Amino acid sequence: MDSELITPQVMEFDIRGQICPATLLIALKELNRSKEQLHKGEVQLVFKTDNRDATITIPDAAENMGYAVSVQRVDDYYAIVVEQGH
Amino acid sequence: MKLGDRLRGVVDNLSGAGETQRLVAENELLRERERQLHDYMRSKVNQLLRVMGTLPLRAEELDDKAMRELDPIGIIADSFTQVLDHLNTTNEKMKLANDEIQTILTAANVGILVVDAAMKIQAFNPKLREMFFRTGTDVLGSTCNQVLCSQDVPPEDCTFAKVMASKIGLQRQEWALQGRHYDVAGAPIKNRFGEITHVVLVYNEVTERKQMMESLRESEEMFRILLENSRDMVQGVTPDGTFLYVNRAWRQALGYGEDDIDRLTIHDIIHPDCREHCLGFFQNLMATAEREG
Repeated sequence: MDSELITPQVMEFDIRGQICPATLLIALKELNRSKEQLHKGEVQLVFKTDNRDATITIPDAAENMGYAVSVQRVDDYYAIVVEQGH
Repeated sequence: MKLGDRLRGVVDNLSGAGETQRLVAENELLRERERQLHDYMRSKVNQLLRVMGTLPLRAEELDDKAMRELDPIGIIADSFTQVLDHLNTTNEKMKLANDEIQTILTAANVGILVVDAAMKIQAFNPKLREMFFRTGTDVLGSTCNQVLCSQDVPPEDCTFAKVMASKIGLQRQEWALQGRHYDVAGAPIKNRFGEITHVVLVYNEVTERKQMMESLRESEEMFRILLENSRDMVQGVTPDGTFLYVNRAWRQALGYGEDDIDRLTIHDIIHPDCREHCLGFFQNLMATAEREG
């Protein structure tokens, strides 16, 4: 099946109030748990965080794993979107 | 041992106090071992977290029990597996890309030279060897101007120097070496900070083309002299009647100067009575030329 035709299911994780390294560990745990679906483009993980360090550590780690990452500022928190790599 | 001590020991054994002390001591030992184990786990987790580029664990954030339950070593180990898988995939892609580049370099009919920012030769293709390094001398790591231009300082028209100065790619830089002529193109390779790390130089030998152009120019000049000195009137006209060329005999016969030609057309020099006949003849000539291709 052409992966471009799949609309990924969005899975949100609200980790506001947590700070590094706990935020990274939680994110990594979810990235490991969903790796098959992420690689197939079936899911998109969104981590909501208010920890600025996490906007660097999570994207760095996820990109090293081959995923595409974007960080969006939403109101008083950041949304880190992790999805299938290019 | 005195009799009193021995009696006290017998009483302690009978009451269970000795066993309690042993268990307390054993419990203390086990607690110490568990504490050491947690310290070791925490230090290894922190080491792995540093590798992942983040901060160490804080005891107040994750106590020993929570650390065991979260299993950070397991999480990071799984993450490393993903990182390594991605690196392997990237390496395979890079190897394929490298093979493709090598094939292109080998098949290219132009000389390709890669030099670093210090002008030292890092790579070149077989065509470039054929052009400049036929003796087979190992030139990798040598300075470009020394082995190519045979001089200690780069020449004024050095394409490498121009690329380094302008930081952009350059096309069709003329360059001559030992009687041979080349079109040289140069392109910078930059790192993520925008600094030039390498320059790729492409050499296309144009000696024969240049010689042909020179021969053509000489032929045209000779032809022009012949026409210019001919007693016959010669003119070259475009389909819309503009003059491309007229010779001296033409100008003298019709009384025009060289500066007049640009503003004249064929219609200006034909008598009105002959215009229809001449234009018909001209159009027939054009139609014949078009049919014959």
